[in-house]
This record gives sequence, structure tokens and C-alpha cells, in this order.
Amino acid sequence: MTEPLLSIEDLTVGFKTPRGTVLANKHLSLTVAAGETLGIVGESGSGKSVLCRAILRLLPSPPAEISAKSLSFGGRDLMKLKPGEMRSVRGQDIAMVFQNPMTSLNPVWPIGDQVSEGLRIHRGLSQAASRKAAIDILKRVGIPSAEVRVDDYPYQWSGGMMQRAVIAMAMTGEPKLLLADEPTTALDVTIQDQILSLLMELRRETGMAIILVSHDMSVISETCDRVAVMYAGSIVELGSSAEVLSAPLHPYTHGLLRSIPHLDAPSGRLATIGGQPPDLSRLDPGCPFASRCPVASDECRALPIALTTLPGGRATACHFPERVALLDRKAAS
Amino acid sequence: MTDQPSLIVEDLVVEFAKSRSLADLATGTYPPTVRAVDGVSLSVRPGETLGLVGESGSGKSTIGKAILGLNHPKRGSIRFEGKTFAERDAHAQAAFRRRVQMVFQDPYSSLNPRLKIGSAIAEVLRFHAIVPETEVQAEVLRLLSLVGLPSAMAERRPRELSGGQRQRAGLARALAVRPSFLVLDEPVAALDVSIQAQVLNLLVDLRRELGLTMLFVAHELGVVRHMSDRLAVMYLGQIMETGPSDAVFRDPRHPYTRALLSAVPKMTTVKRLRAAVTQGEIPSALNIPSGCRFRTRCPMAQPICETVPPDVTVGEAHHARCHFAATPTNNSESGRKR
Repeated sequence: MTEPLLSIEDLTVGFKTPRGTVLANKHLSLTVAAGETLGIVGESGSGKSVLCRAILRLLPSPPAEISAKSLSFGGRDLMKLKPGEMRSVRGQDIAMVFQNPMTSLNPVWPIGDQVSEGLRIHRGLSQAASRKAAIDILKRVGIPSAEVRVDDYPYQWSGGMMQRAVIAMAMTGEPKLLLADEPTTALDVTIQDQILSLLMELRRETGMAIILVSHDMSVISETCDRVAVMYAGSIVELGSSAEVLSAPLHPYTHGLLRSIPHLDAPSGRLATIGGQPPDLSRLDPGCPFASRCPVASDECRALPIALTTLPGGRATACHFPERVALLDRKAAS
Repeated sequence: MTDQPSLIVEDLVVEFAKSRSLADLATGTYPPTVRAVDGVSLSVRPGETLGLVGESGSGKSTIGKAILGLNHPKRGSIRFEGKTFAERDAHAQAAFRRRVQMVFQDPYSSLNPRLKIGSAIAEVLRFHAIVPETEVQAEVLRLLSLVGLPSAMAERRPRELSGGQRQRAGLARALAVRPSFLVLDEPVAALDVSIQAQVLNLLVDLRRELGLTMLFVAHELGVVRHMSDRLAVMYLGQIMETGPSDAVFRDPRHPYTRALLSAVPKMTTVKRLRAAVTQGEIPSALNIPSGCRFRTRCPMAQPICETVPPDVTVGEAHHARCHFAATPTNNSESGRKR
């Protein structure tokens, strides 16, 4: 196997608060191969966005406290880079698309200038050449009559068009890895559909890898090769998205999948996960999901748990992954 | 009584006008009005849940608010239990407020941040004199337990509650007046899936226990399907298709309904290679296309679509505003795969 593009080993991110340190990411290890699409799924507060920001070193410290055995991208350890070197990684090697396009664009600057800024900085293009390149890239992401609309301000564009512009900005540096943090959550379903298709096309054309963060399992299943399921700051399950989403090996993944109302399912009661996610500043020593887990036993509450790779390459942070299959049998009977 | 609809909305038109600018005053012109709801008719029978689904700007929330009298329709009538707003005197109006309640998307902005949850509910009970003063506290606790909140929550303020708990508190406050009809405006859109499932289950239970009639406004098709007996699909202020939930989902006849259903990401093992199902964006409500308003994005559009689209009946109580709704296509299966 070749060297992965991104390799994260034992990443921990804490935030100092008056109530103690909140562990937003806890001992995360993860790799992304070149050209791969990795999905990260989890609920609010599970640490998905913090992980993306930690990869790009966008978290100000303090309050963030970041430690990692290694955070290596293309053979370079991002943790050891100087701020100036890190700046050249951002946008050129790794680019990011955020959830809300309205807040990622500067409202008082024409969109064309914002797209071409990256071209001028990263590729050293002249004003005229960067404007022309910006029009081309806006066309590529599907902005109609881009040569006219390049001078528009963000407020003149719809949410879907703005997200296209943000994607265009991310593509200007020809990144090897794109971090897309809930890129379609703020959009309507037909526009989400367009943006997902666009991202997949761009990936096929450029061969870039994508980390796609989403709370929507179906989005992940349509777009990602592998998926990491996050809960309370930890990765609780990792594997090929086809396997994880059809036969989960962690009770949390199982519960999440069953609580989604489906288009073709009859109405009735939905399966729920009882209780609420734990307070990240006071995690118990055992499994963080134990208090909500339908198959937890005393060991789960007492013994610490780490993501463990099973034969076959899938990984789960569950003491008793074999119990997850029993959940389906229980539900069926 | 049972066949008589609780709510009948006929030919509802709601417009919003921008305030006149200085230039408008100088030239004596008026700014263009936005027609958010354009000739919507619908009815809800007692005990029934009607799902109102559509993308942002389709006018679904505006209809919900119009039913409660929170905006002023330009045209059309809204009858609740046979009476319009104008036909109710002050006394009947107060009774109406007790019969019809609204639950909002974000209870964080609909609950007073300074009031404890218990006080917020007690306020409603006292104002409408639902129970004698001596029983107010007991009633607050009963309502909290009805929505699955521990009694300790009565002493908390909204910011101390999680999103799911706040939505439950908003629901308890709406239920305090013992309404028969709930307008739910995106009640679970702000919640995580596992919490969303808890709140949806609670709504299903309450509907059964209290015999509630519901207008359920949401953009997420799976959620609407789960909750609704009947469905109305909205686009740019008009209902494009309406019918029994099962029929609309199994055999959608309007190209917009089909587009919506196909656009929803599915659980699949096959990676997406396809292009998007619809091109383009929703047109501005200031500049609505002539004829069928979906025609600018419709894959089946023909010259005839530039004129007024007919209302085609395609099954029992199943209507679609499309010239080609009666022609089944193989495309109608597309929404089923999940």
C-alpha cells in the first residue's frame, strides 16, 4: 500500500473552559488516501468540524489545545510547520468549504475578486489573468453567464450559487484534499443534489481527495468510499461506507441508521436513541456511548475503549461488536 | 361532523410589499409586491395530518401563519370549524386561540429567555383560565410529563435546555390550552436525527392520545412522509400536487414532486455518477414564470406549459398541476428506491 495522503495519529483537541477542559477530539487516528472520499458523520457536538479545523490548523490556541503523535500530509508533519509554511498549505494543498456560504464570502467585495484572490496569491497571476481564470472556474462550477456575474456581490446570489462560488474559491489552488464541512446542509434538496453532483464531478476530474462532513447518512452513502462515525469526540466506527451503513458494528451507528424516517417506510414508531450525548467536559472512564447503549454491560461503563481494527479492515470502538447484530434480531421478533 | 373538514382554506393569496423608498415616493410608484402564496386551497379533516412540503420560499410557512391570523391575506378565505376571522367576535376569537396552536421551528426564539419553563407554561394557563389558580402548578407538571420532560425542567430557563428539550417545552406550551389543531412549522428541522426521532414519536403519540388534527410544515420528505396522511407539495406559492401520502410517494405525477423525491440522497451502495436531477434555481417570487411555474426547470416542459396549467385529477383525491400528469412515466418509480 502506498503512503496515505493524510495520516492522523492520536489527535486530541481540548478547549479550556472555566468548567474544565472540553475534549472535542479524543485520540483520533485516521488516514485518507489520494483521491479517496472519506465521510465523517455524527451529530452536533461530536467533533466533526473541530477535526477539519484541526487538520488545517485553524483553531486558535488558546483556547484550543492540540496534541498529536503525527498529523502528516504528503509526508510533511503539519504540526511542525511554521505559520508561514502552514499558510501555503491552506488553499493549495488542502482547501476547505464551509457549511454556510453567506458567512464564508465577504459581503462587501465582488465575488470575482474573492475567487481571483487565491489565483493571484497562490499562482502569482496578474490582475487581468486572474480575472479571466476566475470567470473560467466560475463557469466550471456552473454559474451561468459568469463573465457578467463575476462583478456581482454575494447578496445578489442565491445560497446555491454562493456555495458554488465558495467551491470555485477552494478549487483555485488545485488542492489535493478538499475538506467539505456540511457543504449542503444550508441548501434546499434540489440544490443539494446539484452541489453533490458537482463535487463528485470535480473529484473525478482533478483526482483530489475529499473529506465530506455530514450529519446525513444518505449523503455519505451516495458520495463516500469510507466513513468514520463520530460520537462525543471519538471515532466509534470506521470502514467502507457500504459495509458500515448496511451492517454497522457499533450500537450508535445502528441506532442512528434506524432513527431516520425513510421515504418508503410505513409510518409508525421510529427507533430512537434514548438520552442525550454526554457532557464532553466530564466523560466517564468507560465507553462514552454506554449510558445510551441498549446492549451495554458493566464492563462498558468501566473499561476504556479505543477504536480497534478487526480482521477485514473495519474498525469499531465497541467492546461487544457482535451484540449489534442481536439488536436487529431483537427488533424483528 | 367527522366528514366536515376542521379547516378549509380557499384561494388564499398572501402578498408582501417592500416599504416605499424615497424614489418611489418621488415618482409616485409602488415597489413590486412578492406573492408568497398564490391561490392555495386545502382542507384538513378532524384527526388528520396534512403535510405541507416544499423548498425555501415555496410559501409553506406563510400558509401556516395565515391560518393563525399572523399575516393578512390579500384574498381568499380561511375557515376554521366553519368560521372565518371576520365572522368571529372577540369571544369566539379567544376560543379560536385555544383551539388552534402553533409550534415553531426554533423554540429558542419562541420561548421567552428570561422565563423559567414552568412560568412560561403557567402564563398560558392563567391567561386563558384553563385551570383554577390552585391547580396551575399541578397542570404545569402534567404538561411537562405529557411531553416527556422531567418535572425539574419547570425551574430551568430555555438556555439550560438542549434543542430537543426546548422543542418539547414549546410543545407543552402549545398544548397547555388543550388545542384540537396544531400548526407545526418545521418542528424537527433544527434537531439531530436521534433527537428528531424522539420528537416525531412524541408527536405521533400525542396525536393519538389527544386526537389532534395537524398541519405539518416541513422541507424534509422522509419526515413529512412519516407524519402525514395527506400531502401537499408546494412550489413558488402554489400547490403542485396533492393527494394521500402513500399515493403521492408511490406514484408522484408532477415532475416537481418527482424531482424532489429523486433529489433526496438515498442509502445506497452505488456511488453517485449521475448529474443533478434538476438544473437551475427556484425563480424569484418577484418574477414568476408564466403558465406552469415549474416549467423553467422542468425536464418535460412543452410550449403549452407557458399557458395556465390545468388541475389534473389522477386518482382518488390525487391532483397534480401538470399537463402531463395523467400520463404515467417510468420515472414515477424513481422516488421509491431507498
